[in-house]
Amino acid sequence: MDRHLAQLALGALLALPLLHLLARGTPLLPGTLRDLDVVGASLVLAGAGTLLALGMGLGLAVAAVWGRVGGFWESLLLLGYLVPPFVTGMGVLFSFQAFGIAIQGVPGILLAWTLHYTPLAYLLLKPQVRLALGLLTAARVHGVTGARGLGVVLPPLLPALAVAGGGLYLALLGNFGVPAVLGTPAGVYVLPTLAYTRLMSPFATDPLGQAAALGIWLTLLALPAVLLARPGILEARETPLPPGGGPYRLVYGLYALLALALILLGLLREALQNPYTGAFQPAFAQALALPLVQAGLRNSLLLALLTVGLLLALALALRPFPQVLRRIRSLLDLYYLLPGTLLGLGLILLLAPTPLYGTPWILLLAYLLNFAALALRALEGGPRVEGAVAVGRVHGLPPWRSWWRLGYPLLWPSAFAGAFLILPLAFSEITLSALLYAPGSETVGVAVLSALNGGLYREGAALGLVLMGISALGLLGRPRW
Amino acid sequence: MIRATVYLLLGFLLPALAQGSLTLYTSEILADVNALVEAFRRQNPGVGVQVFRSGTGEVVAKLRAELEAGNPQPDLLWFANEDFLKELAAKGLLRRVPPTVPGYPVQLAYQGGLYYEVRLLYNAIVVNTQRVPEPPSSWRDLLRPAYRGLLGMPDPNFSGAALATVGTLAQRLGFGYFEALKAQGLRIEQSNPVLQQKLARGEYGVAITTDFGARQEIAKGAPLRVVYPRDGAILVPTPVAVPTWSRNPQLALSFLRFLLSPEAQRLFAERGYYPVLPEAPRPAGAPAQVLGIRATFADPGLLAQFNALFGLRR
Repeated sequence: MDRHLAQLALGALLALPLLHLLARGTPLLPGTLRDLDVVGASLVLAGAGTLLALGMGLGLAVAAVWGRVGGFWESLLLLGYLVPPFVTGMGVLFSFQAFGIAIQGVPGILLAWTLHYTPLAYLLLKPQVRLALGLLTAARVHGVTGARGLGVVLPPLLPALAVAGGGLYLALLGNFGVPAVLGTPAGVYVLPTLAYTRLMSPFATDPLGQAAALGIWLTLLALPAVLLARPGILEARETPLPPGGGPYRLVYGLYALLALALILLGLLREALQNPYTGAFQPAFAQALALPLVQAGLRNSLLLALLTVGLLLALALALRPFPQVLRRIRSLLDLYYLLPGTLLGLGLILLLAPTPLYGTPWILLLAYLLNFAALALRALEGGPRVEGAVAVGRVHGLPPWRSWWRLGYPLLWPSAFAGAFLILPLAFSEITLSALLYAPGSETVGVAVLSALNGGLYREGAALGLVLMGISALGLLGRPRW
Repeated sequence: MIRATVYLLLGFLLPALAQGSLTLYTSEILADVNALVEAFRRQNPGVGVQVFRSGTGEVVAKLRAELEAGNPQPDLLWFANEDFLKELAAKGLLRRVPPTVPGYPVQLAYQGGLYYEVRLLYNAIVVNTQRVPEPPSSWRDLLRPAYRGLLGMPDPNFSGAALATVGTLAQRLGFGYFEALKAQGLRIEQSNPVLQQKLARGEYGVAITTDFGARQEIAKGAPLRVVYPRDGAILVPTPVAVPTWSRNPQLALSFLRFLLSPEAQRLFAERGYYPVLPEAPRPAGAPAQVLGIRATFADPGLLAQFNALFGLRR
């Protein structure tokens, strides 16, 4: 009973920003009727992007399984997902500009989303694809041919497709960076960018309330997927497969290279070359000399390190109590799954009257809430160490020493993997920081957006490349996916 | 490692704690405000300067929100929205700090020095010489068939200078002028710098935009040319003001004095602006005199009309 009460209290506390948002936005909901086109655009764009990424991810997963692709090529593909989405957006923008094509608007957004989220779809689908294709091989041996093969492949694949699709839809719905870079300048809005615009509008009578009302629409669009969302099934047994085929490997490799080239070419050209004279003039030094960028790099590094350190400490402290860990994680899942715009607006509403507002600490709080589920999951899914701890207990160690000497050392790899997963994400965060930053607490994501909006294209591109390099660090901590 | 962490943490905390810290809210171009802040800090070591920089629209929105919450942050205001400054002045929220530098043109200190110009910028016609061999020479020339589909201007919801363009040209030529421009295929970009980048790269041929920004790109080799229309370029007021709520008025005053110092005036000229003081150098490649008409900013009604015409969302 007590435990339930505590869980309820914690849940209510965690939901406070969201409840605040709902309360503030509801009276202004009628005023958002003129924005129904943006609600529709958000839904259609996120849906279309999800289908595109799922289709590409599925194709790549099949190619990977049949072509026995792994190691280097897989890392190359995954790099696309580790690059912050708004950097992918910039890369697409500049690459097409190099060919004289203005890709801003719907095509640009969909292309950048597909490039960014296909690796995620691939990761989520590959284990089930391997299972399904193994079954297909077995069925072929037993004489199943042609379209009847679908009857073998679909049952194990459909749940995975639904889960991956739900996760992708949520990610796309809440994505701020790509539509901010490729949509807003062309007058194409989705809910997160429109909410930001309302918040920043000098002519809005009640900027916060109007943004909160849009947040309600965002919640409504996200809710079905949140209710359906389940952690992907990432463990599957190896199944017998036909011998690997060269063509599949070729297709896979070509996609990975093309995707990376589409992002990199434009960024490199813009960052390295004077666009008017064609002279080789790298813009890195200029970019890094901007005080805004220096502050952004410093703040982002600190925020990311603090976030990772605090969250992993929390996860490790909770690990001896798996029930509690699971419960808290399932509460915090909400802030990982729901669009960051909602958390950002909720925190503004909740904390604007407090001294916390306008300081870096509000950003830290937002990051902690946003990334907590990831950190807790990293340890929740780690090796089962209870046996080792029990052995220590049997040999007379007190509980905490038994954990310290036997349990935690076995968990370091999981913690390490979690740290490398969260660090790049937190470092190049943009949705929350664009809403919550104040002068002096700019993040590097805010600095890049400012550079782009201020016409410093070349400096923005140079920073994008720097962020890409830092994101590639995430590959170091890559567990066996 | 530990020491590095401590320094990092201090770097995180100190800006909030430092006493000698100045917060500036401005629409001044990022690179320009950086150059000024750096020069100021060289003269005043140990002073921290926090800058919030965005389009005038966003800067004003942020300040309005802070005023509503009773927690305004800036010590110094500098953007292209005179009406908002008038509003603040009427509420007695601006401190009178008249420019006492000899030779300062009095007509640039508004309301007896409640706020005033530190350099001048004009909205002019800027052409990409590779796309447009024969530049227009007046505002009406933009309606000639030769420029159809090549025209761009920044979003008046975001850019204060564009708000001045809409207000001034609608007053002088009528709102029909913008309807005609719309029929000419005029497109709206978010900000002046973004528009200028696209113009310099040939996405546009002719733009109604700020003169100094175009000159900065010309200095980098862009194929641009600034044309001051013979019926008058639009002088965009971008005054500086010190609010009464400033927690550090002395520092705000010394930054103001710095902006009128020979060094800052020279910096302005280097970056393509017209300095206000007579003995300061002129911007390179710019005429000594510009026929300027003082801007009228568009009021909310006119802006709504403009937004409806171009399908802009705010």
